[in-house]
Amino acid sequence: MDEAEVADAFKTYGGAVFRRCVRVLRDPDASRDVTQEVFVRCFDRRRGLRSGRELLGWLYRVATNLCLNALRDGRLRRDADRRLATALPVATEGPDVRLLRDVLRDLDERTQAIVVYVYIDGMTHAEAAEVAQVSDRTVRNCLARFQRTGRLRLGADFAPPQQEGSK
Amino acid sequence: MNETDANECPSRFALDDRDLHGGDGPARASGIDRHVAGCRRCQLTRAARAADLAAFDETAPALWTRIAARGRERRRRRRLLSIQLPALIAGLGAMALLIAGRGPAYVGPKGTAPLEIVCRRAGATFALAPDDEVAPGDELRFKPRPVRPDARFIHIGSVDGTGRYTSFYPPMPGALSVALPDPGQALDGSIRLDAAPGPERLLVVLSATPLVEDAVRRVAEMGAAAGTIVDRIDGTPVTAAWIVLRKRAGAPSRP
Repeated sequence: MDEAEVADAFKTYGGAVFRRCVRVLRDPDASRDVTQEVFVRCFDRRRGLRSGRELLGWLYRVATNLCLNALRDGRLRRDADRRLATALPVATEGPDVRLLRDVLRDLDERTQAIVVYVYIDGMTHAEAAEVAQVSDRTVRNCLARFQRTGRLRLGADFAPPQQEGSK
Repeated sequence: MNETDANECPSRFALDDRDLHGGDGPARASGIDRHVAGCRRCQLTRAARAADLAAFDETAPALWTRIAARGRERRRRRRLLSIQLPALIAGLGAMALLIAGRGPAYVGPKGTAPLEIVCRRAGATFALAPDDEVAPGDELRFKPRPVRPDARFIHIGSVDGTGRYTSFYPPMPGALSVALPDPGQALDGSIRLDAAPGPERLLVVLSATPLVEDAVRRVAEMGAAAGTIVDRIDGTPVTAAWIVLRKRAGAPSRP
């Protein structure tokens, strides 16, 4: 991709990335900042990126990582749990959100990202694996860790969303 | 209108993929179309999407201007760095020799640790020295030292007694090194030690360009036991130091 193609990518995917950030951060200003950072990185890596679904997955992954970083970072750090809690209800209509937040806080970053993909974005396991660039098995393991932690710590049971094509 | 079970709804990713470039194959695309046609929830999602896009489009030109400016500036810096790299490496080598000759001024039994570690425990705050003992629940803050003039980024992680690596800065797998704070300032936030068995073998890596966490993790996991000297990661010259801290067993204390 050259600079003009990155500009085209921003026109095409900028809105999708922004909405994806808002969904996690629930803060339009912070979401614009993250969107900006995502495309600055796209600018940096433009030679290795290809347009299409692959690029969309890359943008989702970088946006998710940066959003989770932002939630833990500096000014947002103290509010991370609260923000994560307000982010979760959007897609987690089943599990108790407070319990979900408590469990998520104790998990590693990759598991957090996988949980966001599956529970907030509603991705299938295959989609989560594709975007996170891990195997289906890793996705299943991360979700199992999330569910196990919930059972052990809180006695809560977080069944994953029923999915079309769920593995 | 028939309402389809919400659990069968395609993800936002799938909807974006469908709308932006046709979806993941014709069969999947037509499946999504059939579903959305009968699903009020997905129709609402698409309607909200359109509203969000309209709001975003208003600010998009200004945002792109900032992105392009930052992208060009970063590219200019990288080019400048690539031109100056040989001289920088020579200068860094000389500086490393100079610093090594003075002996370690900070914590760190291996190499010259490029940062000061401050520990907070039960309301008390104190600096850590080499081979000091830490305990589960201790909160560590890191204040980088200017041992590498061209360093712009720092990466800190630890391999515990089980051999498991945890990245502190950046906190996310796959993320890039974090930018160094202003001189004399500590990195944002603190790291609270868990109850994993010790020792904690911290790997601190300074670099002129950001490193990917996965690459640092591989180096850390392979080199922790022997305290392998690290001067290059994924081809990038780095200044790195191992800091080994003994660790008391027990459950984390309450913060």
